[in-house]
Amino acid sequence: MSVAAPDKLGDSLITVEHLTMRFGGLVAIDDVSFQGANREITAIIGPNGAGKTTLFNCLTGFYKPTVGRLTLHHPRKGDFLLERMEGYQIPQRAGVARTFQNIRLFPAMSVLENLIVAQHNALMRASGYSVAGLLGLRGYRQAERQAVELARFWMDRTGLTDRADIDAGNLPYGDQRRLEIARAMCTNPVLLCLDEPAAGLNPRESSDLNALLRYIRDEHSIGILLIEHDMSVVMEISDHIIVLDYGRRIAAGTPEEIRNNPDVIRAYLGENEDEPLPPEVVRDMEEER
Amino acid sequence: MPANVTRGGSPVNCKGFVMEYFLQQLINGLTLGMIYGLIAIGYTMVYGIIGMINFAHGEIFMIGAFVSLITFLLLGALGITWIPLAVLVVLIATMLFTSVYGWTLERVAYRPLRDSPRLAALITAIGMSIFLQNYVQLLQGARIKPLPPVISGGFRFMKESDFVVTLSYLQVFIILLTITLMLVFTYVINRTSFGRAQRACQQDLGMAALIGINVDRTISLTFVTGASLASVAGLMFLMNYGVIDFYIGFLAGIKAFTAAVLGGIGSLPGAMLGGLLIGLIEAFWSAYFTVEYKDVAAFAILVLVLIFRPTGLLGKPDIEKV
Repeated sequence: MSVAAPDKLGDSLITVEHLTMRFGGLVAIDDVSFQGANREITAIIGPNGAGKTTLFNCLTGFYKPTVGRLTLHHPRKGDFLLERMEGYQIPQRAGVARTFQNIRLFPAMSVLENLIVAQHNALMRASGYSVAGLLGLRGYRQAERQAVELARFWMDRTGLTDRADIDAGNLPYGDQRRLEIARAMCTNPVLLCLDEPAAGLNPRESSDLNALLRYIRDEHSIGILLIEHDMSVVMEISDHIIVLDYGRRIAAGTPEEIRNNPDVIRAYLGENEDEPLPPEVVRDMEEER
Repeated sequence: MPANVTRGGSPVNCKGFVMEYFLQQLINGLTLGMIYGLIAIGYTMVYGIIGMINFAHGEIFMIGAFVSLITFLLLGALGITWIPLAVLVVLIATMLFTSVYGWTLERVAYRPLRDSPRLAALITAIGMSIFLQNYVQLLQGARIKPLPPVISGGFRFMKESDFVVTLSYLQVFIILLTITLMLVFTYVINRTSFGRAQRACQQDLGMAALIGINVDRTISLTFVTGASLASVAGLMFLMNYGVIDFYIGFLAGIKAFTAAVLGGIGSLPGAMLGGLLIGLIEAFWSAYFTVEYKDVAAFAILVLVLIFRPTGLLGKPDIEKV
């Protein structure tokens, strides 16, 4: 396992400065700045449509931000300006991995293959970007063994070992969620962006997930950005919370601070108690229960 | 069965040779099918990864045949006449040169249109097809180019009867080479890092990029692989028929496309199976019905498949999982 020398707790890992994302006239993210630290779980919460997933799309190169700077402070390789990088280089060089709200595995590949293909770059480097893999060069064979080993490690961690040869598309929902996290970890990231990993999980699966995320944070000394609607998860495992509403950052702080922040309560519960709540807020509150 | 059937346009009396005649057509059909199958893989791979039909793929096959012819003539001029060496050199040369054409085609014509509507890419593909035809016509002339038989002779079966079944060495060469290529290709797709990346891109391009796969490079390599397989088909076509011109890519390309659709577009084993079936159908149709309508038979299959089984024989239907 590549557990690097533990970086100092609270070292800044990702710095987002004045991020703005416009789609035509719609401002999805409006001048948002925050920092995410190494070995911390930073949760990003907010009502539906607050711009959380858009923020992830900017971080992982799906969108080019209209304005703003996204700096990843890689503990070993130095700083990367994510908004200037090609999409595939962000995971490959800067070490940012991501999962999706609606799971995106490679459905026709087995669990093991999903985890090995995530290590494509290490394998390609070992093969010298050539057909060496085909010819079975020793260096490549060894790299492939290591890839399988890392895959096994994460299958053990996520309880998928006895399903290694099942096609990912045929796994039960909870297993697919965990496999997505395992695959993200196989890219050997320094920053893991999780988009609603607890969505659709039952309480037991959800508490397993909490344990897994804590394990990743503590033992692999990486930073986690977490979008989550399930407040029991957020409040329990986050070190730091950022609240977005209508694309703006309305609060940031520890779980305790956020719980009692009047702006946050207003954003979630509405301005005036006489006014009927907008439907998406009602849906949100129901999800949180 | 009729006593008099036409073969190659001339009536052949095959009364009493039903079995022999059948066997001969089976051999011919398999050989033809292997050639179609090799071209069909290029269609199916490109469709699988970027969802477009590369209509210029037939022309890549034609260029493969021309490169083979030129290399054969060059080797002849250099005095290299030992057949196994000559064929090997031609095989490598045509795969290399034609791959460059495949790579350039994607880089110049298709990559800039990756995010445009599919219709734009389709029309560009047809445009590239016409361009490449004219390019070869201008460079090489419009006349038919002959190549004297390189591999002659063959095994002969059932010599005791009057209808001798022949399996030529060339046919053996075509069948063995195709099987070898298919085995290597299957290994590459299923077992190597490139193959895994290729399949990952096929299933989800965006997600593949998110785990750090260089999607552009993988797509380029897909075109290179498809083009090199098509170039081998071009070499086989040249050796099998002995004549080529700038127009051979059109019909062969459309038949291989039919094969890809019949097997299930996007499916690699499907492309090979479809190729074999189209080859067999053509051979048997020419043998037992009329040779003039063999293309009609092949395209009737395309129409029927599209109506009754649009996903092909081995293709998976797109089911949205809820």
